[in-house]
Amino acid sequence: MSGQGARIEYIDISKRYGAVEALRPTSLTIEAGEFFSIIGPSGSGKTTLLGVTAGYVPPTSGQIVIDGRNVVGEPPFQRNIGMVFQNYALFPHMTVAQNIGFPLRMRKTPRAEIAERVKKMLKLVQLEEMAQRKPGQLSGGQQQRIALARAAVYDPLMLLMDEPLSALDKNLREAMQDEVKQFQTVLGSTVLYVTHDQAEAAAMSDRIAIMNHGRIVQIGSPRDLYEHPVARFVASFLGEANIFDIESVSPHAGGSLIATRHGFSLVCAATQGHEGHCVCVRPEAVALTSSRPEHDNVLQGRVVDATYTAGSLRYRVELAPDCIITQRTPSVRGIEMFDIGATVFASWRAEDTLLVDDD
Amino acid sequence: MTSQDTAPRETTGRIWSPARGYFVILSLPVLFLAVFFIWPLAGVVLRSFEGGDGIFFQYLTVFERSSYIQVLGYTLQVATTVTVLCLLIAYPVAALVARLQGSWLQVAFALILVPFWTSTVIRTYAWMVLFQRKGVINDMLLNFGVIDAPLRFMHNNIGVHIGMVHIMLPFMLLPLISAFRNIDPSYMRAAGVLGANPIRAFWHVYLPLSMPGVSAGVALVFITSLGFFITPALLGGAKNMMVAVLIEQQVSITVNWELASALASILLIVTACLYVVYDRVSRRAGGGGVLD
Repeated sequence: MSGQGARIEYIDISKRYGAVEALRPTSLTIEAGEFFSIIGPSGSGKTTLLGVTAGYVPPTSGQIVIDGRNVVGEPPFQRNIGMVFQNYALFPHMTVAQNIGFPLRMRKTPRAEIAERVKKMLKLVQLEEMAQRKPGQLSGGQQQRIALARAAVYDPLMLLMDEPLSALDKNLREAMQDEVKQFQTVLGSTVLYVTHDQAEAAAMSDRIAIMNHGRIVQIGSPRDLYEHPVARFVASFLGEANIFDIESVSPHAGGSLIATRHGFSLVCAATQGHEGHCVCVRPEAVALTSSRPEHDNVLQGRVVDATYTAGSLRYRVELAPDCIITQRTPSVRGIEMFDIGATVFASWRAEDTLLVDDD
Repeated sequence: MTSQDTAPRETTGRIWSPARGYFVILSLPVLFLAVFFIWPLAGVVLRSFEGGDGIFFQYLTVFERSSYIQVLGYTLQVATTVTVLCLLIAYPVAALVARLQGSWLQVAFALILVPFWTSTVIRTYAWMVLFQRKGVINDMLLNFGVIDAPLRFMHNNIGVHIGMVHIMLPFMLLPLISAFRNIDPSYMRAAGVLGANPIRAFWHVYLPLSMPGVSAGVALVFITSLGFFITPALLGGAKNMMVAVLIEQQVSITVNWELASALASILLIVTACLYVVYDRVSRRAGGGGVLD
């Protein structure tokens, strides 16, 4: 039951609704057994890509090749793809066991085998005692697990997940992330996971594609995307980012010297080879001190806001009249906090000055 | 905290509860129904026990005369046929209308509701114009040479059925559409992705989920058809009479109010019994009862 995931290749796949290009020609390969996430704001084309894969949205052009077979001409019921829907779409008139058995029944699997495989799936999601309940009698997390079991019971070529955790509350959502990930590891399936929650995607995925305006902006591992964003959109969508607009770039001692629109001079380790149009600095890369430190980049400012949350301390520092940056440090016991209005120095390394496209 | 604080204080006055308002809201409709419906209905039932030897005289008369029993049987048969025909016609239309959005939906609803602007009497007369010996339909068929002699559409089964199906159709359509609109499109999408072809997806998912609408529509049309008067009276024949027409005759021609009352009471009891049985069955079938 493991290692059965298929390899999926999208070749110039696109979808147009009248004048609206929901999905621009996109090429992408998802490896067998990979947990691949697509994140992006609503209307970015991620749901369209999912619908095109499942088969209920006919593409305007392109091919989808699953294990060497182009499936674009096949209706959904012939594709053998599993899917977990945003609202689970568990059939309310069927019991849990009937729901999980439904795809097998549609495949004319013998009754005894259906019963056996349903039992096995229920055991995997640890809901054996719920077999005879109706979906309406289950909690959100339980429904979620049943939807997973139903999508995987027939060993589909791949599993599609459309924001499956968005209906759950925060704590449950985090617990379910681990469960979904473990479920995928046990079954060895290829997963295409769509979400607008970047933290959720980062926690589970091997690779992530960030979509915006109907196209993929960047593909990479969660760490790649966070540490090396290519565009302003990626930098600010994945976590928090302090963005500075660039006025000019000049070479400087193995790196470059950047003049920002607010008149700051920033040192960057990267050379000008990358045609960057703005600078991104992560909040964690910034250090705040009350006296001027010796560092690559040092800017003076005034604390305008301080937030203490479980795990982290977040400051907003005004460097210039319309330039506020965010800084974050772990909130450890006994940490000394700056008062609002205090004068502080924000500093960071040259390597943490990231050059990105102004998208 | 001292010990004297722990004793709960006595509540003074009445406790406010939202249920108090229900009484006020319901009083007017209850009063209206009591005066204009329950009271006259009780009068009808009481009257059915009068006018002969023994209180069940009228009922015995009804059950002794096979022609009355025939009328009751025919009424049930027509109501059943009309309900089935309405369901068969309305189901696909409703499924289509339920998928419409925006102005198309409004147009569809307008088309369904337009017949209500014209009274049933006038619409039935319109059918008479069409169905007559020298009516529009016969003229057309004769002109095109499809038939040699005019066909009989009126004063027989055909006319009553067509007329009643036409009048009853909106009562089937509206509950069906409302039920279909409550079916989340993701269920059908899920069925497809999980491997059900469109026919099986319909059979295993859409049809069962649409049962509440079917229940409501069937109950509404069947019960209304049982007591339907105007269309059977105008389009029906003397040979096949529906019970409402018979009751009217007993009142206006024979002037036998007691017998008419007995017939009306029997119709009421039969309707109530069928309704309860139907509700039980549809509830067991998992569609949810009408009485839910």
